[in-house]
Amino acid sequence: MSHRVVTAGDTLAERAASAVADPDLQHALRNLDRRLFTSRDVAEDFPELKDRAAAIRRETLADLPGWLDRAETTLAGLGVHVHRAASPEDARRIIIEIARNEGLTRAVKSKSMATEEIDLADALEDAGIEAVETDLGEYIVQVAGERPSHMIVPAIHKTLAQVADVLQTRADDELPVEHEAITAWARGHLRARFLEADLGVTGANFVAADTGTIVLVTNEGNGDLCTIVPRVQVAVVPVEKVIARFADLATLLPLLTMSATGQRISNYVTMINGPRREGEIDGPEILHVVLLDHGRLRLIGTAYEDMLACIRCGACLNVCPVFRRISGHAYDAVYSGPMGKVLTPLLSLDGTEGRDLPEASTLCGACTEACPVEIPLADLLVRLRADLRRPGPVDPLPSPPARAEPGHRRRPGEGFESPGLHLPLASRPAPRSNRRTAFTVWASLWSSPGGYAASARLTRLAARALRGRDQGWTRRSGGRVPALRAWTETRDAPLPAPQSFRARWETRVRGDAQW
Amino acid sequence: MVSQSVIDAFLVAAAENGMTVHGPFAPAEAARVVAERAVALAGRRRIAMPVTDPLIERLGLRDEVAWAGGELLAANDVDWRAEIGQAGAGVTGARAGIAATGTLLLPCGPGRPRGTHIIPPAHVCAVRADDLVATIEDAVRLQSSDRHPSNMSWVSGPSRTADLEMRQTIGVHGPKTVDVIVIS
Repeated sequence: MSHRVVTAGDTLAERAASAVADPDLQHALRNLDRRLFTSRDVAEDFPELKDRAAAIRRETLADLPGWLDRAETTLAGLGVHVHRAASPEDARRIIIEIARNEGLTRAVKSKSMATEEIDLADALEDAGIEAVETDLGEYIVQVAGERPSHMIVPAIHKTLAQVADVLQTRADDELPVEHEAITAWARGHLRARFLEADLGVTGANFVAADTGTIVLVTNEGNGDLCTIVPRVQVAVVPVEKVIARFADLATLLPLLTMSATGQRISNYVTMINGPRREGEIDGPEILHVVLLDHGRLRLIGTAYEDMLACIRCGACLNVCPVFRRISGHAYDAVYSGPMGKVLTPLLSLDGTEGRDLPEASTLCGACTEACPVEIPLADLLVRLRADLRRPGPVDPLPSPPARAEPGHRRRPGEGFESPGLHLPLASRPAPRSNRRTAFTVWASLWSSPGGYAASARLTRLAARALRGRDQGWTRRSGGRVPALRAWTETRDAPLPAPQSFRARWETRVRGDAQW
Repeated sequence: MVSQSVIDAFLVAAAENGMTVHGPFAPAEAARVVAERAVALAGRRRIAMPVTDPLIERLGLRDEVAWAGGELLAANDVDWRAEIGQAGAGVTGARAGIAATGTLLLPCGPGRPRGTHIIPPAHVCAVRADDLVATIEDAVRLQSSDRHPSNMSWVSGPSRTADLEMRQTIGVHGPKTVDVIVIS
């Protein structure tokens, strides 16, 4: 099933334009301001927490394959069935097989970006298993046939009136356009789904390798409910969610919730240690964990390894000047905003997805500054822009293990094996690039003092000839040169001074200068 | 002994999280308040309670609730699973509380179902002042010294969502009210 994109368009630029032109969307996006000040408001020790978290994440990533093995052992010891999925297809196949073997027909889902990534809800529905999203925002976008537009606030793109319209399709009585009334209706409607479900599908915010603890963080309590009633639970866990130690939660838990919602801790933190035990009357009898690679492990030991430190808090989305104007759908990808711009092309093993996303950035660095685990997002965007000039998937080159500690065995990140996965390594021809030609000419011109001086003289002449009455010159000239129009429509440049610095310097050296 | 400042911090943080805080009370008084709150909140519906929760046993809370006129749904009742969806309140004891965040630690186990605190629309929870810890780090350390239960829930307030125009709205899936009674 394809998802309806609120901001339509074939290219990122078109979708962004329709997002900016949508008054409802722009109105709804203003609500994001409430997330502009989060972590710094609630804890004085945030900087210290952040440094500690960044170090913890890097330490785990340095031997992620090792910690995965450890997690698999401890989980299995608790009676959890652990599966390794190389790709979204593998993950879907594994989960549908579990549902078929157990005869499950009704699934409730708690919010999880990993299940979005593998498009699980639709796959379950296609397999004849009813799959209901239970996070309120996620339920709204599911009913609307859309994707979440923000990883923490999935329906941030909708006004309250639009939400009421969407949910009205499922309600018997008329829904008032009112927060409490809509919430109360959703409670009753979804409660029935919880109590009759036989499969609970969750993600995981963290999985501790030393104890096998699966951690779910919610404010609504839907994570708890998904793990209480259904007979079977499946948790989809991207490999980088595995953390080394349970004790690391003391740092990572408050860091996640502060960065995501500005809370010192979220209302519900659920820690699951295996399935229901002897004598217990609720909780899953059978618990499966699906570890999802999907191109992540190949990033270990490369310049992109840092991206795997991401804890999905959404802080970079909230501060991004691009995201705040165009919202998540314009990216046309599961992960949007700054982290999505980096992660999407990296996860695209055939190199077809998200190639234009790294361009949608002003490189202002707000994301880098906001990131609680110190991922250099702006730097990674620049690197990706360069790497994506080559056709095909991003080829992350190994980088020297800068942070490897003595005695820490660094293993290359080999992906999981897949029974039937053939990667179509696309060999698309490089798009003929005018830009490349332009930069080549520029480079050769500026490689000699004469060439540089000539280009400056030429620019000066052109600028004077093209200047407008109350404006600089690029806007007016850009209007005449179609290739420049897109750039100059919203930008202008001041007129150059009558004489260049070099010319004035020459006259000064000759001794007859007036400064 | 837990210092008074930790108890005070817990009471403030729990209230900030939207919980209704009571106490600290001596055990007998605490038991009476728990029962009173549970009966008032449940209305004519049943009150779900675990049967192996050490604090509930020590306070004799099932008897207390029955005396106060509440109808029990005990975790060893055969109809627990069928009835829990209709219960009016859930009563639990907490393994510990975190002062810095106003958080209750609720382990599950045999006779101590996961659903008690989250399925009914009201949650009433007793916690001993002596079981309060200062920080999340202390709680993580405490939990590591116990055997990890199959499910541990940290609760910091009633169920809430900010999914509608990012406005806080209470009671979306879990309880709409959480009452905490601190025992001195």
